[in-house]
Amino acid sequence: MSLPAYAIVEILCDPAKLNALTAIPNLEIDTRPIRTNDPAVVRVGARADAAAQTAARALGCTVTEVKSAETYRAELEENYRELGKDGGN
Amino acid sequence: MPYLTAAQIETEMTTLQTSAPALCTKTALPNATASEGIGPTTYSFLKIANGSGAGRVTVLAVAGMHAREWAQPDSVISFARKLLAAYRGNSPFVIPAYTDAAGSTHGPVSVPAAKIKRMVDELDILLVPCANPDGRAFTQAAVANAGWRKNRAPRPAGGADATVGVDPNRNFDIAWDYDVFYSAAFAATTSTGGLSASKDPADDRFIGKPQPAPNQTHPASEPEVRNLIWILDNHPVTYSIDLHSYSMLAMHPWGIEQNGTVASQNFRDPALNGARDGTLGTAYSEYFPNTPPTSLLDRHRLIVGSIRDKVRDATGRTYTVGGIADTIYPATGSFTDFHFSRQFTIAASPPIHAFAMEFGDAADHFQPAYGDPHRFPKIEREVHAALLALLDGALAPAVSTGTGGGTKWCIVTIAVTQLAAGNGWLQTLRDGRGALLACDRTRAAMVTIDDAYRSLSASIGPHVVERRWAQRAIAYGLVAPAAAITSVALKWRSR
Repeated sequence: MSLPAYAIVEILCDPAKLNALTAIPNLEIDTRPIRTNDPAVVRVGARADAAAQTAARALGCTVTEVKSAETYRAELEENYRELGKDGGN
Repeated sequence: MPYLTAAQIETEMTTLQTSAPALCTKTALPNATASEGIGPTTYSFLKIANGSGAGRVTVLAVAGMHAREWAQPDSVISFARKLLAAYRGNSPFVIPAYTDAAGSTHGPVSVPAAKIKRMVDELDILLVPCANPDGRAFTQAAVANAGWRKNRAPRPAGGADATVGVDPNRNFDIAWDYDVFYSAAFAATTSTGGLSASKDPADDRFIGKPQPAPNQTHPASEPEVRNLIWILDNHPVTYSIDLHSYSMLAMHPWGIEQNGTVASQNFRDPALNGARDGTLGTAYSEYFPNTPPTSLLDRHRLIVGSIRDKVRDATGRTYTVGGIADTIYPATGSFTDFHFSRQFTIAASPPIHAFAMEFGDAADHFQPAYGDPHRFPKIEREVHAALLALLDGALAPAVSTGTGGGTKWCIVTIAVTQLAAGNGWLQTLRDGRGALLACDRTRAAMVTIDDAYRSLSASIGPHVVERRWAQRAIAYGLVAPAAAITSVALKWRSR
């Protein structure tokens, strides 16, 4: 099974939108909602492909790409290759 | 060089024990894992200590509880290796300088040989490098598994792949059944970004399956969790730290609630079940004692502050500090809350200090590139810095810490606890004291000063702790000038 083209993103979002956010295909929540100084906004760490990022923005969330899909993929593959695993799987 | 596998972590522990059998003991934990498609796996913890007997302070560090968080287990192994090497070589523990991507250099951070000697001579240092070995093995088996967080407990009958596993850090006996513990309104926030726990086996914060009747509301279903409880039951651990990633946080309890000052509001009172409002309101907050002589909350704040400072010294990054529920999110069943809670449920328990860390940021992610100097090696420095700060804190109790940590007052610590610069002053004074104790010519004088200081602290400590003006007078009239002079002396000495 190959992975979607995940980038590492941070999402600032209204807590009321979290259910909709978690329902977006190819958006994997990494860090659960962390409080910010604004009680109406939480910060979520996630892996998301381009379509998922677009869907999150459509919900009104602010999406910041922290690491591109290419860089994240390369780092992952390097770690697994060093472990003797096939980086493509 | 790759990350260690769970099996290699076991081998590394064996090597460490073989290299220093008088100082380092590897012990197999009593419960083998019960996983789907892997194991059963027996795994171990390390004890580093020179000596034994009553009066020693026991410190426990746990890593790898979440499968995908690869950097902390490797960092704990390298910490053990460096600690033993420094002790045996009578040399400082040095965290090498780090030059960040912008070209600024931070560190090196050096803990003097005399301090390292005290850590190993006076503390029992317990290390669980990999608390979820089957989970780690699963994540390392294929890239597609990289995001797995839970253990690999068998799925419910007919369950999907995602229903495998339990989150060990939601399976401890502290507010485990959140539907009972909290108000219905707060319990319902598990799906809306409030409470971080879930009864859905497919959720990566799954608290665990109910045990067979009549224990269906009992937590600690997982062998990995029972192993950590076994350590606490069999070792008098009064300091613990649970190492996670990511979010750049250094935290203390409570995670189940915001911290409060009302003694009657506590997790032990079943009459409050169903009424606790979590972070939805402030009508209920979990009681965190802070009265002298233990000043438990101040002591936790002091230690997370020293961890933050030491990490910043090592890499230049400033972690956020605070209570778990205030900084990251409210969560039930965590190891840190559970360990902390035992001082309130076990008769005659000494004060217990518990901490949790979230290392790194989103760019580091869960598996920071091993060979990139700005990824794993940076996190490794931060883990080492945090552990050194915790061990230092365990060596230097501020005030009475009960039977587990001496019964000394420390007016200097009391005076500077609330000051932003206080940790730095304290560290400078501790370094100066360590240098004087390490030198044959000055050791006797330092011991005399120590004795006089203890006597003075014992006589005026109870008064200082209740008078802010006295704390300020000591901080600015005594501690700050002494730290400045000590700093100059240490620099002159190092020339």
